[in-house]
Amino acid sequence: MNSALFLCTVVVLFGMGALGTFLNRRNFLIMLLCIEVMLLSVNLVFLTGSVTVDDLNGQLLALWVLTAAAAETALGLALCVLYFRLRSTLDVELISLMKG
Amino acid sequence: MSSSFALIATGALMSVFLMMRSKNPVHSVFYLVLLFLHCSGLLVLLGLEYFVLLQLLVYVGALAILFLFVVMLLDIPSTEILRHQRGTYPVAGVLGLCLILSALLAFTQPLVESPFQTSPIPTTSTFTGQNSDFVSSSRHYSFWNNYRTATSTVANLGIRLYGVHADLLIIRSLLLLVAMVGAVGLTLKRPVSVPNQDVFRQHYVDFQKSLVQIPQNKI
Repeated sequence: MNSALFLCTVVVLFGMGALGTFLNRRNFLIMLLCIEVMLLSVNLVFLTGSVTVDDLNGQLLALWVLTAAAAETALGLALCVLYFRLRSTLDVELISLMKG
Repeated sequence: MSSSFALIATGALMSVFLMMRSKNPVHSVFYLVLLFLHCSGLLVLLGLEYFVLLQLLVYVGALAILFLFVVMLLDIPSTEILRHQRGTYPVAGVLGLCLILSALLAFTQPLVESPFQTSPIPTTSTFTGQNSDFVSSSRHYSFWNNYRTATSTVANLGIRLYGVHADLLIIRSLLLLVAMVGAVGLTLKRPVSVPNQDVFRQHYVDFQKSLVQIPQNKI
C-alpha cells in the first residue's frame, strides 16, 4: 500500500475541514464538526506515519489527539448551548459583538 | 492503488463535502458518522485494528452521540442557511499558504538526514526501551516482565502508554477532567431571582460580628 496516497487523501481531508471552518462560517455546530474533521485527519496522519516509518510514537500521539478531540468537543458543545441560550440562533455572523 | 482504498477514500471525501453542504444539522452529524466509518476503514487498510476499534468507540459511540444530543436539545431551524457566506478570506489565505508550504516540505523532506528525527521505536519487536532496567530490577513489576518479550503492537503500545510515558497519561487524564469541569461550569445556570440557600455561607457566619447593638433611641 502506497503511503503517499494515504497522506494525500488525509491532507485533502484536512483542507476541506479548514475550508469549512474558515470560509463556510454559517453555523456554530457545522464549525465544530469541521474542527472535528481536522482533528481526525491529523490523527490519520500520525497513524499513517507510524505505520510507514515503523515507529510507535505516532500511535501515542494519535491517542493524545483523540483525548484533545474529546475535550474540545465537550467544551465546544457547552459553548454552543451557551450561545444558543443567549441568542436563540447559531449564526456566527455577529458573534464578535459579544466581546467585552 | 487498490480498489478498496479508492472506494474508501472517495467515500470519505464525499461524506465531508456532504457534511459541509447539507442544510439540516442532523444530516451533517450523520455524514460525520459516515466519515468516521470510512476513516476506520482506512485504518483497517493500514492494519491498525486497535485504533479501528478505538475510533469506532470514541468517535461514533461518544462524540457523534454527543453532537446528536446537542442538536436535538437546541431545536435548530434548518432554514437559516446560505443567507450570508462571508468568510475571513485573508486569515484563510495565510493559513492555507502555511498548509500548502508545510505539506510540500513534508513530502520533499528527506527522511534519513532530517534533523528532527527521534530515535524510532519499532512497533513489532521486543521491548528494549531506555527504562528496561527499571522494569526488570523492581520486584513489583514482575507482571510487566511477561510482556517485555511481547511482539504484538498492542502489547508494545500498552508498555509504552502505562510504563514509559505514564506521566503523559496522567496529564491526559487531567485534560479530560478540566474539560468536564469546564463544560459543567459553562452550562450551569444559576437562577438569580430565586431566593436560594447557600449552605457554606450559612455555616460560616460569625456570631460575634452578626450581633449588632441597636441604640436606645431607635426603639
